[in-house]
Amino acid sequence: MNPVAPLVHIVDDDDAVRQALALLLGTVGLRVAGWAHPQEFLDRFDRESVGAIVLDVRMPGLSGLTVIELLRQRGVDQPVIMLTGHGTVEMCRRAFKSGAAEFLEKPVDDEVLLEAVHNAVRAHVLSRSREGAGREARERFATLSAREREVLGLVVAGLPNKEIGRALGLSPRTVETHRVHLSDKLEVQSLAQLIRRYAALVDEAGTA
Amino acid sequence: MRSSGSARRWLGPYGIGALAFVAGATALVRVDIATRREALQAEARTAHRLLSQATSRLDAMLATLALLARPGDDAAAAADAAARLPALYPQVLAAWRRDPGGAWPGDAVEALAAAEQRSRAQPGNTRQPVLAAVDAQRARYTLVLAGTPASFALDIDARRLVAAAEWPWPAGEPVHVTLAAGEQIIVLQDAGAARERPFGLTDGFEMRKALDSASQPFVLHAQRFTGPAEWPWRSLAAWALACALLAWALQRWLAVRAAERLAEEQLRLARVSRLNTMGELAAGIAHELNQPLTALLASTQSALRLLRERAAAPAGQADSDADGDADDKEDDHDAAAVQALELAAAQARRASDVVARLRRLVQPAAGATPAVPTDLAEVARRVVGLMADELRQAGVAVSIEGAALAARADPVAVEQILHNLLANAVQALKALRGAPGEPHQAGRITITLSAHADRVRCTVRDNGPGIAASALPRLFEPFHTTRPGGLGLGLPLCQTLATAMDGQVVLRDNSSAGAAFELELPAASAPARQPSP
Repeated sequence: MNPVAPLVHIVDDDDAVRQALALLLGTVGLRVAGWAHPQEFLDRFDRESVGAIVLDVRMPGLSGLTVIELLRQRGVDQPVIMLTGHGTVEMCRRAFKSGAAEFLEKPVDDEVLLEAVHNAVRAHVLSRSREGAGREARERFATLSAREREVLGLVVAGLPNKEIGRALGLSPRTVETHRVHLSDKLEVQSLAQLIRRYAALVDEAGTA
Repeated sequence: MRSSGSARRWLGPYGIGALAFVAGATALVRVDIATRREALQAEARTAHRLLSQATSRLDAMLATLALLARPGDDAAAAADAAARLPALYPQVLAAWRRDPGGAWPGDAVEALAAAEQRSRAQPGNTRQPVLAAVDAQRARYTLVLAGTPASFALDIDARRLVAAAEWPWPAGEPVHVTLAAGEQIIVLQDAGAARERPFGLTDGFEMRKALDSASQPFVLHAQRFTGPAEWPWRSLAAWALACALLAWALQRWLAVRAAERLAEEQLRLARVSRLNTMGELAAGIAHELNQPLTALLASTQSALRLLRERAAAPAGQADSDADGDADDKEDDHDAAAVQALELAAAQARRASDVVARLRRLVQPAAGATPAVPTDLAEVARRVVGLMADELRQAGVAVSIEGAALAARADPVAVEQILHNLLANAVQALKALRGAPGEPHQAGRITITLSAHADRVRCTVRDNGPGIAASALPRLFEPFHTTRPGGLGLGLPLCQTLATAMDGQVVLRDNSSAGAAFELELPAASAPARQPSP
């Protein structure tokens, strides 16, 4: 579905930790980008990429908690997994409040970390594709003519062709033609698909 | 506690001593005056009693003379008897007898005759002597009793009415005693110069009372002049000395107690500091060890995964049967490697458990630091007070600027943070002093308090050489110190303590003209944070 494999960012000032974690994630085929300086990471990482961020709490300069708060302020949607040497309740609370997906203690077991990263990546891929699907549907919906939109509205409302024809002053045959056209344009194979994907958009357009 | 403390600050031990002296001295003088007043009254009563008795005696004397007189007495003998009275009674200067048809002797004939008339006018059986004349100048008066056949008169020396031995006031006392009969005033005792009221004397006290005598209607008046000159100066001096000693002792005691308190406070701060430093040390060690352990565990587990993956791959998919032995050998090696790596991973976990246990051991229980409204200025003053010796030795002047600010914090933690920041500043300033040859600048630390929305800030600024650029990146990391023998835990500890209070410590300014660290905390007025469950 995505042309580019997910990318996991590891932000940790400790070279050895960064490399070891990169190795570990690499064993399951994940692409990894390592960042030694949180500020550099904030300035330069690709917000559009799909994946997750593994963030150390205790770093010189910017602490991990500050970084995650900045990420949220900037509207970054990548899930963040926090790593800490020793987590206090307070730290944990702050991290989750800032939207951390996970809060793990160092040293972290491979299975725990990999599961967390997998979950995070999966969640991000899903949310991105949902977002993408929505965008595509919107684009297709925009290609419909005014008459087709009226027909679609009534189809989604559950009226048979005859009723639709009466309501719009058309013959059932013409209604059928419109239905074929709009199904082609919206790239749906069945009435069920049509309703599932476009009912929300019809409501949106109707109320707008 | 607080109010008495401020009262003590305003008054001081010597103030208390002065107050005690004034109170005691007033009481002493008042008691002394009261005693003297009572003494005068007692003395005056004695004098009154003696004088009343003396006047009665004169009445009796005249009555006896009149009683003993017989018509046709030998006039010469009778006169002789009367003339013998002055020899017996010193107060009687002369005794006169007048027979019918005779005349009174002396120069006051008319007064005597008039008095005799008045006496005779009284009913016969209760006839009383009558005062004929008073000579205030010479303190004399004459008394007449009309009788039949002869009348008698006595010339009296008022000053001898009471024998000197019985008279309550010795001569020279500042006491003025008079007997008054109408306009005539006889001075019995003269206060002399005291009547002029020289410095130190006032009117004092007086007593006035009429004598118990019908014939001699005198009013006794006694006045004692007194005043500061008669105060009990010796007692007052003793009391002053006692008060001074008391004040001195009080001051000594307060000084000793203040020193004890300071020592106690310093001890407490040191104890808290040691405990916190131990915690920070453990946290630091934990962090420092955790990093390599994390890397170690992750690398080991990566290797394990790679090996297991290879083992799981379909065996000999590309190999010929001829390589079977070699494959088996390789598999054995792989199995041994997996075992070794598993052992390494287990040991890495074990090491991290040890570290975690160590940290738990010294970590204070969660919620052990209550956040209460804390006056930063007061804490700053207390810390400066605790470090007074150190600051003096380093020749550093500290000033606290800004309004009183209340933060919601743990006062003990704030104290600790400020203590560390001040200690760092003092160290920086010592380096300044150490430069030989150069005219050294006076060390100065300024603590500034300011409020920003619902946060309060306390900035500790020194005019030392500032922090080296090389030390900046790892300033707040444990075990990084520029000080020989330093642990490098001071600033990390400050940071940890501040973070626990929802605050932070940052380096606000740094230049060759000095460094400024800033402690930021939530204001006491800020909405309270929900405690984490």
